[in-house]
Amino acid sequence: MLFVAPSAIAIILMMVYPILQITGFSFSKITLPFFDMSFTGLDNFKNIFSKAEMGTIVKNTLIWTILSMVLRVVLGFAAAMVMESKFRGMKILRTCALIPWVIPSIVASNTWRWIYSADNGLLNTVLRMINPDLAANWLGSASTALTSVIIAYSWAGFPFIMLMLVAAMQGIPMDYKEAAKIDGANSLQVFRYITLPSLKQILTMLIVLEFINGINSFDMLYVMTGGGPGIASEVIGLTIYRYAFKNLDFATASTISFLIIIVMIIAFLFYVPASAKGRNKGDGAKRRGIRWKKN
Amino acid sequence: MEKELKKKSSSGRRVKHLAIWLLAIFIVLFSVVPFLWAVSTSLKDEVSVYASQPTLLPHPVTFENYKAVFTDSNMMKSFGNTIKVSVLSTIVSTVVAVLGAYGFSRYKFPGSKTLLTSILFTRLLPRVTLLVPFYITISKLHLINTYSGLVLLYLVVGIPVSIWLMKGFIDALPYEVEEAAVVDGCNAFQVLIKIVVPMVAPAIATVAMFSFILSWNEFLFPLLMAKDSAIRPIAVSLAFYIDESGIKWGTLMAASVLMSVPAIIFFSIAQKYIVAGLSEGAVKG
Repeated sequence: MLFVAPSAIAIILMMVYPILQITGFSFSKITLPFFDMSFTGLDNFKNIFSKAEMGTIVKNTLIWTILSMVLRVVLGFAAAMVMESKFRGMKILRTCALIPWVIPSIVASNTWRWIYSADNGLLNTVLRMINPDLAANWLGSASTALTSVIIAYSWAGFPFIMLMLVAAMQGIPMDYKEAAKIDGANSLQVFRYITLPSLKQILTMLIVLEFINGINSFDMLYVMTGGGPGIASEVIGLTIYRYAFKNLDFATASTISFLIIIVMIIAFLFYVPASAKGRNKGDGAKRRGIRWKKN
Repeated sequence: MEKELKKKSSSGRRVKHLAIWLLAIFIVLFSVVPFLWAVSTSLKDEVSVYASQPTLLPHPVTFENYKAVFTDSNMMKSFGNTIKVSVLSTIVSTVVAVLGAYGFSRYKFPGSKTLLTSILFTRLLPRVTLLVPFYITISKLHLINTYSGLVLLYLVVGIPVSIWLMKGFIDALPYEVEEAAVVDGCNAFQVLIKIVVPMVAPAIATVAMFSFILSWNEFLFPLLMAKDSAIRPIAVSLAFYIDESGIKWGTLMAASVLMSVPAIIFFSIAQKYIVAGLSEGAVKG
């Protein structure tokens, strides 16, 4: 019991209490500097839904989350398919491919900011060689800013998916594949009926994780575009930050947070029944990841 | 069996192998080229960094950017801050994770399952939504602009995964060894230190590595909580690295490469432990 105390305190202090606080703040007016609350009912919510910018922000967040999730999972899956081969030297190549994920997010952001740079950036230099008209101010114009950061963000995240899937693929017993081949299955069928079903569980987990990561994103957008130009590349995390720490409007920031938490809980309630089938095998995601190699 | 198959490999097989190789190299290039571009930029002199036709490789190679980083006292201070916070939070997180995982694994008490699930749930809760209460809690504890505040936040970020990872390993240990130790007169704490910890050393290394990289790379929390340049870590300094003449990309890339080195080295070393740890945990389980 005593062993658990430090982690329990940390969780209660930094998770349970904050959720209660967010809930309280969403229905209150906050007076600085001591964060005094006075109940105002649904005023904060009305206030948020009357803001015109919210449409853009929700749209950006959806584009960002879904597109980067798809890109990361597709890239990671494709990379895993190639890199799971047990050829000599593949291990070293695999380690090299992890670079984008291992380097700090701030380094990835600065690197891509430099690549996208309008004047001397690598991308524009290469494009100018092909056709001078192709060069653009990637991070500075509203039409390309969000997509450009999505590409950089997917680059930084796909190796993790690859790593998890390679481990999962190598955990599939060779007997299954061999048996299928003896029964006359071709490579495509082996993939469709052996590999894919065995990966279903971990894929679901990874998709959920990436979805949360997407909502959670802050670093790359903050450093590369700051949400700009205007709010053209602003996603919800940056909005919360802007309201709370730029405008010092903690009530609005909390209300947005509260709404996201509600959405996440609803999504989670849908996810739990969907994953319930696989759940009897292990207690939780991480545990499954480990047990999985054994099979 | 594998060898026999390889001997028999027909030309079609060889083409397939070649294709896999080429694809693999393509993926690796996609992964490393942006970073190598950063490395290349960091080794260029100022003229070639801003050349209208930049070369892929630095020519001439110069270390003046790295010299600029090492002589920049603010930058060095930031690196020092990052090292201090990372080491501190690695120690705290690992100790808390080992204790917590052992407690959850070996003792069932009322509410232990709920607590464990809620720890997992924190992983599913986007932390951007908790920025405001985190900030208020840390400021009420008077920990804004302190290392302790950052360590506490990193602990909360890392602990869910760390506990679940550790618990998986400890669950896999045979309980009989600990029972024998108890019979021989060890108390619970001695069992943990003398029996369990040595057996899960690779797992501890994995968790420690995880915590270290997490705090080394962390950006958002120090951005909020470390406003004072005296404790500002390098991640935040690099985000705001700009002076009157604009961004010095050469120097910025040099500092970025330097910041990546510990993360890369640490990961490469610990990667072995992760693999060893995972397969070992699997065999024992």
